[in-house]
Amino acid sequence: MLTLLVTVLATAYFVVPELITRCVVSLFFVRKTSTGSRSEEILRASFWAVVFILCAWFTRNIGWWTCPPGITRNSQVVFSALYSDKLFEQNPAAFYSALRGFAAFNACLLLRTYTFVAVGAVLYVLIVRRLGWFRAKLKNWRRINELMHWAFMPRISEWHVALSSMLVHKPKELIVRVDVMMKGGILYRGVVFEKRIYSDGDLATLILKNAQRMLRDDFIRDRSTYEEKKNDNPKPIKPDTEDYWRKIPGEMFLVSGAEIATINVRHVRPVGILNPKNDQELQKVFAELYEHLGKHFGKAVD
Amino acid sequence: MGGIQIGNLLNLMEANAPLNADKARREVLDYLRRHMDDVAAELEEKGEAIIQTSSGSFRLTKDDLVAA
Repeated sequence: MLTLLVTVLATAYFVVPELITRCVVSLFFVRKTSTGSRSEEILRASFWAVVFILCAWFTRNIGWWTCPPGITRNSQVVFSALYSDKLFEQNPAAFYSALRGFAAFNACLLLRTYTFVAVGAVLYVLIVRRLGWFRAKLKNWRRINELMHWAFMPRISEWHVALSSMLVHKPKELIVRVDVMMKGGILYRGVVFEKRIYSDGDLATLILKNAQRMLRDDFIRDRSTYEEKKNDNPKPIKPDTEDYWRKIPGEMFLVSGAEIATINVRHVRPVGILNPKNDQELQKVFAELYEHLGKHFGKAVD
Repeated sequence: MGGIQIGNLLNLMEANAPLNADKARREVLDYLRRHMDDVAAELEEKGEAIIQTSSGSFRLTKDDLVAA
């Protein structure tokens, strides 16, 4: 019975807070189940559990439901009686009375602990959602910055970090573009629309929009031909990789994570935001194009 | 990957974003210079031209030419 009670208490104080945190965080993020070794995970979970238990302990006499007094005496009676049948048989009434006080105290302390855990988890989510802002503010405070990443990042899959701009400063100004090399040698590229991650943090599927497939064999053939003939006269035109990409019809393109060999990730500002008004070089080329239109088609723009 | 390593990854992403934007701008300029006839023909025919870069496509219209 003693072992059972200790197990129940350990679960209630150390395991349930971790589960509550994971439950709340999972509502907002793709969470990675495990990031470090087992002992590292237990140490981290215990550290955070102790912080919340201490918060609950120091506030046990505050609020509408205060923890009943006499926990030391009640604990002694309960544990002694569970340890020894002889002690239990001496005064069963005292045991049941102490057990009621012990249970009431633990229920009160656990409720407070779980409340702190839930509030802490929501704070955690808020901080991570504005991590880019915090990173920018703490840019010159390297140690604090590292501490923040140590404390807040391990519960999130690295795929989620690499394949979204959510965690950087000003995330709306960036999109994530990827070149995906499949195990069969086919190369795709596109904008990351969505991703699905296994519970162990590995990439399950990747959904791209504006996906394109590269005619890699044609490019390699033309490139080797160019290399052979580049000293000839007239000099051949060097193949440009951009000419070998072909649009894949359809709105979304789904790639299986198991078939991916490598991914080249780029966090880029959309090209559509190029501003010729502040760019003399672009203005010059646009002016040339404008002239070209007039020359070739007899009229300029309408 | 630990939290500090993820922090380093985020630093890298933020540092490279302006470089990628400049690269895309260069690609647009190069494409326009090399394919001026094609782009002009496309603009005349469809009213817009799509320029592909490694950072995505850039839509150019006749109005953009006037505005610039």
